[in-house]
Amino acid sequence: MVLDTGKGTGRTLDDLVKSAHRVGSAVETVIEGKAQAVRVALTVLLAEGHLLIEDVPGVGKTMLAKTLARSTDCTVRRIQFTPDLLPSDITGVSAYNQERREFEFKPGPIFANIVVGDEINRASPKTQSALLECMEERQVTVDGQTYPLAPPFMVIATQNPIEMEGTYPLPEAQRDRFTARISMGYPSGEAELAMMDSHGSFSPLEALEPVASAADMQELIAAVRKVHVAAPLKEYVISLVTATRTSPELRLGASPRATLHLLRASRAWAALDGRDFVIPDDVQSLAMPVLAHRLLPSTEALGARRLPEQVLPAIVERVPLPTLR
Amino acid sequence: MNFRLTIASALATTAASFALIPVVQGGGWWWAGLGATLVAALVGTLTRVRKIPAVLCLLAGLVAECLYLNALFAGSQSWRGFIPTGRSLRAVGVLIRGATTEMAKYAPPVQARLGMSLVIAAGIAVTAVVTDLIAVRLQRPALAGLPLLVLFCVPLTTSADTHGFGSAFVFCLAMAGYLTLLAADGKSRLRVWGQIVRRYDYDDDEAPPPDTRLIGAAGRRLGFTAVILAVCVPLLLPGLRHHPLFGNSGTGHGGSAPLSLPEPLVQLNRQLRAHSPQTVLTYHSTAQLPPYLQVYVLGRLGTATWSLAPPGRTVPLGSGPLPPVPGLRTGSKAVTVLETISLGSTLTSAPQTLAYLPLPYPSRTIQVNGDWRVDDNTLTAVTVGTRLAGLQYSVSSLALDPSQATLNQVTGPTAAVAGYLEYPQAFASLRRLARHITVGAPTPYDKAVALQNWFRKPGNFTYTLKVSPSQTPDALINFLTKSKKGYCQQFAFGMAVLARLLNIPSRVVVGYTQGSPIGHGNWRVTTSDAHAWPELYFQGAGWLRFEPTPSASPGHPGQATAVPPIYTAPKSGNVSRNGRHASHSPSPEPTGQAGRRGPNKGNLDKLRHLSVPQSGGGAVRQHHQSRPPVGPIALVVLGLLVVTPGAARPITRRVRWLRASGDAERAHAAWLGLRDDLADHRIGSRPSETPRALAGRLRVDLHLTPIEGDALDRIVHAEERAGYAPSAADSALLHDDVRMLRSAMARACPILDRAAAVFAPASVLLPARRGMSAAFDAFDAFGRIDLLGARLRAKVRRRSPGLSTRT
Repeated sequence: MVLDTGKGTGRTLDDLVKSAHRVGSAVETVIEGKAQAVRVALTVLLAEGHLLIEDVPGVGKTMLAKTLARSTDCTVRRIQFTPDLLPSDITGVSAYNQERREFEFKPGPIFANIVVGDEINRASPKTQSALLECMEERQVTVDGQTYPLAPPFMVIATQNPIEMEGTYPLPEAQRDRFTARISMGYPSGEAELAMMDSHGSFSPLEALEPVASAADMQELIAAVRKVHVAAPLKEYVISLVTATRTSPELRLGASPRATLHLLRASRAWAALDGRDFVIPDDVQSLAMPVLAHRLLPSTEALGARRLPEQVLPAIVERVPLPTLR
Repeated sequence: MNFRLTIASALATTAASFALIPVVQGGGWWWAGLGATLVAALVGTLTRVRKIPAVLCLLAGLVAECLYLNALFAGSQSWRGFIPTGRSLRAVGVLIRGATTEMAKYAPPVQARLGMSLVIAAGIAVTAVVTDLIAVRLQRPALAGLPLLVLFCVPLTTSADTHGFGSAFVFCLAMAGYLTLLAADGKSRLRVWGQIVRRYDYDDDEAPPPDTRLIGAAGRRLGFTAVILAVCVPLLLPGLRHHPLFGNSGTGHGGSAPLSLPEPLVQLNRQLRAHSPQTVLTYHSTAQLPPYLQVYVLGRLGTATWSLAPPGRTVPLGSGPLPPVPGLRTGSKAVTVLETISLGSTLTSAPQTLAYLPLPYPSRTIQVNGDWRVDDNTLTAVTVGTRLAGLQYSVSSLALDPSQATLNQVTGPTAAVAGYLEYPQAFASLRRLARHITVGAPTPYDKAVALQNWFRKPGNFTYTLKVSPSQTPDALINFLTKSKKGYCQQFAFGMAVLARLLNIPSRVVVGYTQGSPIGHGNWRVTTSDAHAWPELYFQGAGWLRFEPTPSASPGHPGQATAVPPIYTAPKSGNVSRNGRHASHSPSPEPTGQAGRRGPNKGNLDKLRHLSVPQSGGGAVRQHHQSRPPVGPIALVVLGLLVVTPGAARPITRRVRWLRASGDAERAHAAWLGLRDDLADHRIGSRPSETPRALAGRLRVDLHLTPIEGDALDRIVHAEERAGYAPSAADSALLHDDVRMLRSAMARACPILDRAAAVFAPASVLLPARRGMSAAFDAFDAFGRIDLLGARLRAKVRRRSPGLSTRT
């Protein structure tokens, strides 16, 4: 497949996809039995989005983020969110340099290719919104000075849905900024057995070598942007999103931003398949991770114990494929 | 307080009260009944303000109704116009006694005099009170149907005429009332059932009530369908149908007549227009072409119409020989025809109605059970109360065949038949026409034949049932001079009137033609053989039948079994109708071989052609007008319907493939073909199923071989590229791939599904089914009503936001 990546390197999409798959395989050596989660994470990275991982402690949320960062030879910073964390602890501060007699900007942990925000719901809303602003704008403004964030830039935030005491759950507007949300889930018995063997004597994360450079990832992201999306497929995405807005079981449907995220992620998903065009399967595969966290169930649906996770598959099942002529 | 049910209950009672219309003449009683219903509703509502025992509610209702009826019918004798006094009660008593006497004396419909109105209004009042009590107070609307049924059954249990469109309309009204009552109750109940159990309390007052419109619409559809079935099924089932024959359906002549007279012309029209012919009688005859069967003789020509001939002296049958044949010279030669007649077993007759026996004219002996009397004027046999269904009787009659000499010697009418020459002045204008037609005819008989020929002349008149059965002079003049379109009634009237204008005594006979032969000398007469014809009187020859109505022939509509009498045939000779019994011919004309095959032979052949060879039950398929062969056409259409889907499938497949040009279109054609094949084999696919997902499923379900799997992948890949990629994939192999997969489907499917794929492919039937369902939706009045209602409600809600959304 010869898809111009726009970087003038002459590399085909196939080559780039191979390196992406190498990244995926590398991550899977550390995070065992979670191929789907790894693929979504990689998709979000290539779609220039941000990932929200919601799960109980100890299932490998942070490990996934770290592994992804290390295998792509990207800079990675981890922020542990606590209630007393300040926005400047994330963005950085301007400190007065006595020698130079001027203010000097000390970049915060946000200045990395991959930022891992652990337990994001423990920070105050003010801090959360500082992070989310950086996510959206891909730049930091401190004391009137704007500092762009180097691409690729991806925030992987984790959230623990069990211990909700003393937390600030992300409001809908902020959840909407995450391209996808995944749950790691417990590993299977076999995967856990393999994990005991591999993690028992040494840390596989330490042994992990980068398999793709940040430049490779950049090139791949550029290639993903050029993946072809046919008009019927755009219509299909619109129908799917509209169906979430009109469903009586949902109080809040997907936003136009969700439409863009879904299309962008579908492009990346197709590219990971080695395809230079998006098909409805890509959209259907990504509907759950990309849309579910943005939807709010109606009171009736709540009464019937139907969460968006149950409503969404029914909507996907109901919306017909576009008619091709 | 359930106002909805109260109103529905009052409506149901009012609708059921329409059922009394056939019983009573005059409309005053209905308004009194409506008032009684309103009083019942009002008092019922008042008694439900406080919860008092149901018995007290009933008593209160009855007392209020008594006051109301007293005020209405004896207000002037009451104190303050409505409090009953001794005088008013006595007046009411007198009225009731009078009504009771009238009811015992007269058959329905009775005149709605004051007493009768009081009794009927009282009946409606009691029904209204009981219905209101059961439906609203006791909350059992379904049971409230019982008092309504009592009201509805009144005309059924009396001998009131309950046929026709009116009864269907009344039935529909009553049903609509009852269904409204049920619907009003259903709506209240659904509100209770349909409540969604809510986990969270939220602004409950503002919450809309559960949407029960769909259930309501379904209920209305069911009710509507039930009513339609109740109205239509009796029309289609022959067993549930009354046969309006021989005077049993006479409407009577008001409440003053103890005995109802039949309405021959009404019956004639009803039978001629019957949806499907019913067998009236079958008979065996010794004649080759038996005579017509007369039932009614209409001898009186009034300003409005023809009515039954004035009765002469009647003699009981069996008490001696039958009266002599009027006008027939003694010693006239005639052949005797013997007939054994069996009336149909489904005939009904009302107890207080004159019934006439179908007889050939002139009959000489009649052997029949029951109390029969014979009129010496018309030789008709009448009875009251004898059961007609299945009646068997034997008749011998004379086959009149007057000689030309007799007919030439006809003298002027005698005083005995002077009544048959009277006509109203309205017809006088036709005298010129009558003379014009009979120019050159010297004798009265020649004139009569000239009249018949004028009516039967091809192209002169058109036979059609699609004309008004009006019997007024104007209508007849219009028929004779302008429209020239009609059926036997107009032809018979026309000829009889013209004959009277020419001073020939005439009358109209209503009865049946000889019917159609069913083999071995047996004949069958059906309702479509009902007929009217003129009889003209010639001194010495008696009453002779003429046939002005055209007979049906290919391309020319007419009465199917009408045959002109032999003595009116042109002078080509004639043959006796009695076949081998004919020992002579009184005609002076030579009777050659050609004459033997004369008009009657031709007529007989035609009748044989019309008849059905077997004599089993069921109506003979013969009509007055030539009709297309419905049966074979229906069979062909049915056959086509069965064969078409299977035949259409390969064609649609081929056409789709041929129309596809380019890789992308061929890929789509292959994919659609695959989907259709799946539908045909009852495997199916969901509209949201992607090609890839479908392929994954098929690979497992159909146990595809690797080669077939590759074929499937090629189709899927081609479809994906054609639909979503910038360029399409190569389509060279797709046609064969689809065929290969079709065989794989056939291999994997059970035999029934395989057969369905060949003979009834769903891909062909589904669009047809969708079309039908769309058509049904388009005609779904209830759905539209619901939609309209919803829109109106939404509009009202928008305009007045303060209103509660609960309705």
